[in-house]
Amino acid sequence: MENFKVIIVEDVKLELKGTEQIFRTEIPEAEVIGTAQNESEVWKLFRVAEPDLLLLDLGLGGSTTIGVEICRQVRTRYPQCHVLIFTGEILNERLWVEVLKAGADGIILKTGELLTRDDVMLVMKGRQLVFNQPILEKIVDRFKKSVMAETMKCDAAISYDIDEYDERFLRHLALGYTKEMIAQLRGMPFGTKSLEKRQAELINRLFPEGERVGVNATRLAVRALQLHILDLDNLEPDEE
Amino acid sequence: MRSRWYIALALILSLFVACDGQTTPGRRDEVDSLNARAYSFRYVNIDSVSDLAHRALSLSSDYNDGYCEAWLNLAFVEYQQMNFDRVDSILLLVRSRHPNTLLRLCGNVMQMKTCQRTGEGERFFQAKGRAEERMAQLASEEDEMSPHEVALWVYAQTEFHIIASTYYFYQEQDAQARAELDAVPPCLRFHVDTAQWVYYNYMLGPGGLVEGRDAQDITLQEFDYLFRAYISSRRDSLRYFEANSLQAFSTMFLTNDSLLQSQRPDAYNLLRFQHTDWKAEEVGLPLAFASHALSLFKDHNDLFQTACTYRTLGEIHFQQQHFDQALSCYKQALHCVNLHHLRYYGNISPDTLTAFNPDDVGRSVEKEWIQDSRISTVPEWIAGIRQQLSLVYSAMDMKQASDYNRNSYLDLLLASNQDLELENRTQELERQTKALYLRILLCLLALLLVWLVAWLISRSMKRRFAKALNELETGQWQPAAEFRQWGTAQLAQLNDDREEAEEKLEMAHRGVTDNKRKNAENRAKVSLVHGIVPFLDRIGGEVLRMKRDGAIRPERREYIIELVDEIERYNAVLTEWIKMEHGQLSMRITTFPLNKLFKIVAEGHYAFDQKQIQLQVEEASALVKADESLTLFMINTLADNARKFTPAGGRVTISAKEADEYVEIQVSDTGCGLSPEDVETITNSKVYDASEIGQSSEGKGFGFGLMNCRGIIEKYKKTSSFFSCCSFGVNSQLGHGSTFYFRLPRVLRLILLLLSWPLFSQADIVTACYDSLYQANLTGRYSDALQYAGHLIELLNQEHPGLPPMTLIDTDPSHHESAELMWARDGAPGDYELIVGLRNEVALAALSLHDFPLYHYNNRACIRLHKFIHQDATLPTYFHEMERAHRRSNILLTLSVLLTLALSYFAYRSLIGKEIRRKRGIIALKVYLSNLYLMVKRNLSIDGLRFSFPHRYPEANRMSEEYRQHLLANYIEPMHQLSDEISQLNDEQARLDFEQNRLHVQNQILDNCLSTIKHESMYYPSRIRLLAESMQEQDVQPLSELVQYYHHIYTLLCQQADEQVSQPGYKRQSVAVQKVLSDSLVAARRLTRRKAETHESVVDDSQVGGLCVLADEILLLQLMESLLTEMMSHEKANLTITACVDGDFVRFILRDTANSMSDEALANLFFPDVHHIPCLVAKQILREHDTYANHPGCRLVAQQAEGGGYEIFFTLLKASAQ
Repeated sequence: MENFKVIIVEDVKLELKGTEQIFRTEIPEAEVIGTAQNESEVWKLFRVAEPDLLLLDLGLGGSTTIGVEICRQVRTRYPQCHVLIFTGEILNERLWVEVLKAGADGIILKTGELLTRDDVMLVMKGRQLVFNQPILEKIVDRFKKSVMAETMKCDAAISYDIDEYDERFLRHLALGYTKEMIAQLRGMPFGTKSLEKRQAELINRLFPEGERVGVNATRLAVRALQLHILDLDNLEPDEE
Repeated sequence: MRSRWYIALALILSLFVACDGQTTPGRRDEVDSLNARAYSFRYVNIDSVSDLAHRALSLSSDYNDGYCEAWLNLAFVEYQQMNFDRVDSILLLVRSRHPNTLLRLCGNVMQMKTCQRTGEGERFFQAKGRAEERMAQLASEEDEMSPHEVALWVYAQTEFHIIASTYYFYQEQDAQARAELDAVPPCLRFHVDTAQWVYYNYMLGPGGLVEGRDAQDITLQEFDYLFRAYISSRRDSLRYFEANSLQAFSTMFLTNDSLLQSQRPDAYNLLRFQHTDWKAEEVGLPLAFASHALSLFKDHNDLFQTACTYRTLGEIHFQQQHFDQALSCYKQALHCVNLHHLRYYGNISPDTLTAFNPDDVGRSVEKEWIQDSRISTVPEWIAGIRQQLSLVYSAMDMKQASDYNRNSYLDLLLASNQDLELENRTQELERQTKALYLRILLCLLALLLVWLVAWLISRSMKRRFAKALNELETGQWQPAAEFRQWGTAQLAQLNDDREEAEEKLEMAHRGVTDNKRKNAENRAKVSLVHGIVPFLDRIGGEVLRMKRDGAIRPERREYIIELVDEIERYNAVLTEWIKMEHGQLSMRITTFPLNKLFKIVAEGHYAFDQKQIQLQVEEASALVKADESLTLFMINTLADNARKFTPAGGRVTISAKEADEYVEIQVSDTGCGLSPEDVETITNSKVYDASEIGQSSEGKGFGFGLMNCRGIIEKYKKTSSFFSCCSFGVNSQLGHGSTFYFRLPRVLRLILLLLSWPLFSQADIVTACYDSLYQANLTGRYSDALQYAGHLIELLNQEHPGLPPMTLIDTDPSHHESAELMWARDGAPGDYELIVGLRNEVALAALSLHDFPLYHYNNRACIRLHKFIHQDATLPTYFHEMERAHRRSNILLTLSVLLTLALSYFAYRSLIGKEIRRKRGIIALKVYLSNLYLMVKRNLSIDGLRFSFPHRYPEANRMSEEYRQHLLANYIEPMHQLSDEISQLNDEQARLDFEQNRLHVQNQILDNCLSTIKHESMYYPSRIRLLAESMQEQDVQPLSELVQYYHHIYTLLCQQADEQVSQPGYKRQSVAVQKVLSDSLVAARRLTRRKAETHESVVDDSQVGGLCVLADEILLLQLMESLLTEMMSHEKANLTITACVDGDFVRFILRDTANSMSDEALANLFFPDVHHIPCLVAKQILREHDTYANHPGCRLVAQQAEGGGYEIFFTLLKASAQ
């Protein structure tokens, strides 16, 4: 591969030294054309020469999230430059999302193997969403959970024998409708009496024995949400 | 049986009399003379009385009064022999014969005498009430009495007062006793009736009823009275009084021998000379007197006084420390009691009293006697002996026997509660009856007047109506004025309350602020700790590469060493930082009752119910000294743990065990239990992976709760040696549940500190203190008991400021009453039962410690107070009687009122006419207004209360509505508003308190975590360094393992801290920039107060008008202050604080033109360094703003300023315009 120019932004000197060492020993193609310890130095370096890769730490000095801002500006001002985030923010997931939104090509967490040649090369080849092992694990974990939740919704309808009317009844209960109001809905051909009966049946289905005492409409609706029978993102009343 | 026979005989005799109405005057005189002689022998020879009375009886078959008088003389004989049943039957007989009033009076007096002795208070007062009625009746007939009747009259009056006095004296009501003696008519005090005169003098003798300058004076006066009684009784051969006087002398001489010898030499010598036969010289005067008295009483065949004299003898021996002899005397006295019992009631209950029978400890024969209504005995008599027995046994160190006797003594006293108010009630009834008659009379008078006045009224009606209307309209009406006054006061009060609530809120707010700032600092420390992790990762990365390369490059080794050095530098900063706060006692140590926390925990049973676990919280009485919120946190943590690891149907028990030094708080569950290895880990290793604890897979993960609990206990121990008894531990067996416990110091002697504790009531403390006293006595720690009593007395004194203080012992004889008795008498509120208990416990402790003066004082105080507060036992009967009287009077009153009304109505109809209707309108209006006032005062709504009086007087309607509106606008609405405000303020305060406690706990735990991190990880960097330096090619593995282990431990510890940090205390709000700047200036001036010449600061707020930022106000100010602290640390400073808009943000700039700093120095400001700790705090706060502002990009930068000097600026998100 051709040689490419790199700017490293890192506020802790000792860490900077380690990063430089990694480039020197493992990625000889990379030419480190400058290092910056704060925001103003970054722009100074950019004015001198535009790099192919910006290795960016998120926190600089007292400003702990300024990297996001730098990333955003680099993306707009120098669209050709790749931005790889190299950060110690191993817990702050929100910041990852922010920086991805700002246009970063990838995030490498300062843990485990740290920065590897492969990761840098992938970025240089134009690959988006480059992550190292620790962050990938976290992302996959989140993904699994969200898929599980989806599955549960389908399962819930089957395992609790929820029909269309049950779903509608529960959904409107969750929206704060009274039984009288629900009985007025076009899609509900029932009277209040039979809604009450339906509610009692739902309680029996959704709650294990011993927990059914004192369950009211609110508790029932919350239970339906917990069991993913209702989807919080699609909680809309029927159109009348 | 005998008494029945008597009654039968008497009734037959009375029939005879009824048949034969006439008597001859000669016989009358003879009977009178026999009766008079019998009377005169009363205190001389009891057999003669009996003899003469019987003779009178046999002659008086046709002379009813003489006959009755003879029976009364016989009653006296029976009384002297303590045959109380027979006295009663004789009095019954006398009553059935309807003698003259004087004799009935004598009968009543006799009844009083008997009841006084048998301790029947209610009957005593009945008799007394009747006697008083009769005395009042007789007073007017005095002039028509025959000489014989006059003598009886004198006797009855004196005897009445003396008996009453005796009664009060034994009930420890000295004032009344003295009053009764003073009521003896002066003419009767002289030699009209010698026996009564002697009796009167004797009463004043030893009773303590004389008032004087000092103790000496009192003793001398008493001696004089007694000596007079003694001389006269000797002269007239009144053996009974002679013996009584001697007995009194013996007690008096026991303590005042030398005083009497010097002040009353003649009398002293005479007495001594008269008692040479009684070996006065050898055995001492008291013993001689008592022995003499004993022989006289024995001759007089008087069991009661014989026993009393034995008691006196015993006391003398006791004083001389001849305990065996004293005991034998008391046993003799008890024998007399038994003799009396067996003589009259042997067939009912053959059991007798013993001084002490170890087989019979649980039983009290005298109690059985008293409870048996067929037996009459003299409780005071036995009580006196029992008390002395308990003393002598105590002195002989026979604890059990002493306790037995003391208990009997107390039982007897409890059984003889008196009812003082009965007397007042008799008077009350009398007064009511009088009042009733008066009212009826008034009614009738009124009726007559009505007709007379009716026409007058009708004339003045018009004038009055006009005046009333005027008053109402101008608001001069009295209730209206009163209401205005009340309303103003109420509003003022509410305003005060609101101010107070505001002040409290301010306090709570400050508490929150302090804790929040501390919290921010702790978070900054946690960030610092986190700052090490990347270095660790770097080391890890380097080691990984070394392993991969299979070679050690020197630059890698060097880099690792540099990293280790950096880590050590960070650690040093942390250590310094923690040290900076050392000495600040941040725990809030207070004393509090454990049960308060237990109650709070018990309220959280819902979570347990959900899991079908029974939560059992036992009552705890202990007071502990610790940090209250931390203790609650610990109990909650342990309870939550227990809940998590107990299956449904199980039980979690929270209890406290008290030991001498500490209280052990235990949380037990019936869950899965722990293996011995886990127990070992929990109690001994400082750091462990909680997820490895526990058995089942789902039950794993205790969290950091247990580590935090142990950390808190460690912190207590470090705080002070007072907490050396603290500990934390667990007892557990696999499958058998676990018991987690911790120990906190128990408060024993430091009770007084409690007074500074504002949150729990004085009553709690007093009760706790009393319990401790009781417990101390129960467990035989008598000196402790006295200390507790001392504390308790101080506490009680504080409850009664301005009143004479209670003391443990008061030896001043001029104080007739103990302080608490005065309190009770003055009606001061207080728990007097508790004081009675206190005195009793002190007496008990004193008895066991052989401190007899202390015992006597407290015993007496106990008895007197007890008697005083138990004066009211017959309330039901009283009410019954009152009710009957009321009903009677009501009926009569109603009838008369009805009659009056009916006739008045007639007068009204015929005379006053319609004029009055208008007045009624006014009255109805007034009633309506009064109701309005009442409803307002009771804080009720007046919405429903509307006035309606249309057809009579429409003007009233208009006025009523105006008044209503006036009340609503001026009183009700402001009051409601104020009340609402107060309750809102209180709620807010409660919220702040809650927040403060949460932050406090969080801070404490963070402190612990940080110091654990400091201690536990300090050692690794140098090890790594050592290994790295000496590492050879093949040695990478040990280094790799060490680094991995270090990393593991470190992240584990960080997690523990993170758990606390993850609960945000951040409160996002819109804050005016203007205010931030001005607050900052105040803070800057405060920081540089001492060095105002060199440190200047100004604010430039030209660009901020109306600008707001999204921030937590408290934290923002702390951020400012931190930066100011940093910038003011130079020797001089010239600071400008300003702010301006910067895109979506607001930029706050602090510029110092007096100093210049290099780029290097500015860049390093926000890296861990001991000298720039405020900057670290500032950085942390900004970071939090960044996190919670929902918009990253806040900056905190230090840079060179244009035009010289340097500046630090930070940006915060601008609040959108509202």
